[in-house]
Amino acid sequence: MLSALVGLALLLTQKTRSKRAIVFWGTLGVWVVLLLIGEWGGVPSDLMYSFLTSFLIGAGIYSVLTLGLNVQWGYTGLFNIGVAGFFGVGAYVSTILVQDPAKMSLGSGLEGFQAHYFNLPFLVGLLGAMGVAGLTAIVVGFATLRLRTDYLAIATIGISEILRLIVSNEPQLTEGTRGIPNIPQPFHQCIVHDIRPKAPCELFGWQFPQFLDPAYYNWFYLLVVLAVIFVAFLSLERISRSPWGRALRAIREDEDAAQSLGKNNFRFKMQSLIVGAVIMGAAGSLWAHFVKFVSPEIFDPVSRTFLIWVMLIVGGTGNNRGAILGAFVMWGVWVSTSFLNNVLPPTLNTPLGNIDVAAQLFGPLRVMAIVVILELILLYRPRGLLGEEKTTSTMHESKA
Amino acid sequence: MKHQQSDPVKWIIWGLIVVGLIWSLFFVKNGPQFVANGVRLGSILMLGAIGLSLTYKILNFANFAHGDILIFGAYGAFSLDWLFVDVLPRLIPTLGEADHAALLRWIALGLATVGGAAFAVVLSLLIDKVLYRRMRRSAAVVLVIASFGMALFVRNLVQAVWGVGNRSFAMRIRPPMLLDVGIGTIKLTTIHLVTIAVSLTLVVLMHLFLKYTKTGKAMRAMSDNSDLARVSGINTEHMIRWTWAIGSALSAVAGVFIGINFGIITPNTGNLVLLPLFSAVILGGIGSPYGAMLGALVIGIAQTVLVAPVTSISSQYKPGVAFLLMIIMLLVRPQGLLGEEERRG
Repeated sequence: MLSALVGLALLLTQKTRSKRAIVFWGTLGVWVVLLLIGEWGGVPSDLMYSFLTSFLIGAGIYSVLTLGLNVQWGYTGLFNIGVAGFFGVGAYVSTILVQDPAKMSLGSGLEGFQAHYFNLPFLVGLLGAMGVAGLTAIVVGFATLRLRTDYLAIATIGISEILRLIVSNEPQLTEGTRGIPNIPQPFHQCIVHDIRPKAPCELFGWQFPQFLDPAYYNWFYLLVVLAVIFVAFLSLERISRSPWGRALRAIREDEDAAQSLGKNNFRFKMQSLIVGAVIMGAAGSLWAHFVKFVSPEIFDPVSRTFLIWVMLIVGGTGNNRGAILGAFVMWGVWVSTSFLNNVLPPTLNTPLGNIDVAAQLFGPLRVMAIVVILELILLYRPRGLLGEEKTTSTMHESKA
Repeated sequence: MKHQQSDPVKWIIWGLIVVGLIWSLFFVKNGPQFVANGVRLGSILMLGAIGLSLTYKILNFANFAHGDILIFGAYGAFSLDWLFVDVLPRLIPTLGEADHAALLRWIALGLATVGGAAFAVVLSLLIDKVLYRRMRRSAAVVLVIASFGMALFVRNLVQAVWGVGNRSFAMRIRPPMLLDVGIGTIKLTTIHLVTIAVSLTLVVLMHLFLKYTKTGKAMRAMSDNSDLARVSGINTEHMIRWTWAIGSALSAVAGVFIGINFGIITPNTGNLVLLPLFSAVILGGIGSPYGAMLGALVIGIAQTVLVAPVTSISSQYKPGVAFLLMIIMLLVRPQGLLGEEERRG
């Protein structure tokens, strides 16, 4: 909550380059201070740390999504408002590839699942998710990338709606609206010891030590998420300083000029759309294995498309650090406002009748508040927290 | 400028539409019924698509909030309808025991629709004044982001005010009358007939308005070239307000028709109907109101005829047909059936 406030306060102040570091370390510092306060204030540390890990994982996955959107919108100016589609398709593909059919109904009491599952390693699921998200991008891009950018917007919002229809209506493929529970987590059975005796996990004849308490598994998953962010961030930073990245920005600024310099706009835009979609697919896979459940709700346009746009615009369009920062700040706003629901009165007595605040009023009001934040930023500070960096070629930097 | 007198793609598409219509009338089981349902859906979509097409051309951005303005108007009408049908007879007992209750319900619905349209107009003018007006000189994409945000804002406003559950109008569905059209019988209820008749009337009025009134001519001039229109003395801000008013009023009527034809409205209905609306606009050609009408009819019939007769396909796939047609159209003829040469920004 505090970090979000600090972030938003800084939004309104004009910054020099040196203040960017303050934003970053300030946000981090606020978290450390909050943790220390919690530690001394007697919050059970198990609860606090499990909240902290799931917060960081959530913010991390959204950072990956925001990085993906930054390639499309920040670099190339491609207007994708179907982020949920690529995210959801990644989640579903990864789930179907990785799910172990034997574990489907463990504890859920549900019988008669219809879909086919492949019980493959997590890494295959991740790569499959990225691949299928990329293929989806090709379908959308092929029809619309030669046209004005609004068409891409319409087509992406369309494809995410269609994907939602398909997963809700094809139980043979996706279990329909019931969703798929008990999705296995990467290396879970190899590193976590459990009360139930289970099969030892061997790889190349080497027995993994099952040393981790199940309660701390999320720390390990956080490392996985951080690794994905790290790889995505470094490669995107490298890419944005390459000739490819410069061509993308040239297309964003002036398509005709880029074309007149002999750039094949369609190809560059397509590549950028695919790269972004692949990253979003990876985020979907990470999300599915984090919450261990997917259902058509995953295509929710508010929390899976709109929130990511707000994150990118708050953080700074065209800036990878800004994308990650925006994701952490806005995830803070999103998660901390959900606690407000516990503070507000559950029902309100009015002359017109009882209003159910918790169930009816709170969710919409939260979204409306975030829309207002977005519109204010669009109106008064379109560059976001960290504006776009001046990017020069790596060759140039090494000389300087 | 090259003239496109002979454009084979255009005529192939026209041919496909005609063949498709004949095929669905004569070779599909219960074909005429499905075509009639399609015309009904198409005439509803038509009302929504005209507004979308006008704002697209005159304000030069894709308004993603259109579907939600539509559902806001429908909910406004729903509340007024409830007020007229459920609350008013309690205050004035003679209204409740009238013999012509059905007629009174129609009058109530008509008044409620006008009121709902007024709600939608006020809301969209307010949004324009507070938000879009400050972005006139921004890039089109900024406006699109803003409208996407506004779509969620209005949808959540509807949820906050009316709740997430289903709502239905007080209109009762009467037993249908059977119509023999030679190749089969069509079941039609009064609701269906009123829907089609009112939609077509509004469309004709719209046509007369655009063609003969001064405001209509100015609007067409603006959609052709807004700078030129401003130079020749047209008050563009005034015209923009007219555009919003007409678009939202028509879409609110469409929202009410969705409510009485398909039984329920939910806050998400606007989101669901947005895709067919955009498909209709693209199919007919962006910026051409007549294209939007044609596109809406084609989408309406195609959605019904291609999905409904096949029982193995879930009827929820209807928007999928619209999406598929839109993608195909973007691939073969992005400027649409009646649109002009493609512009690229």
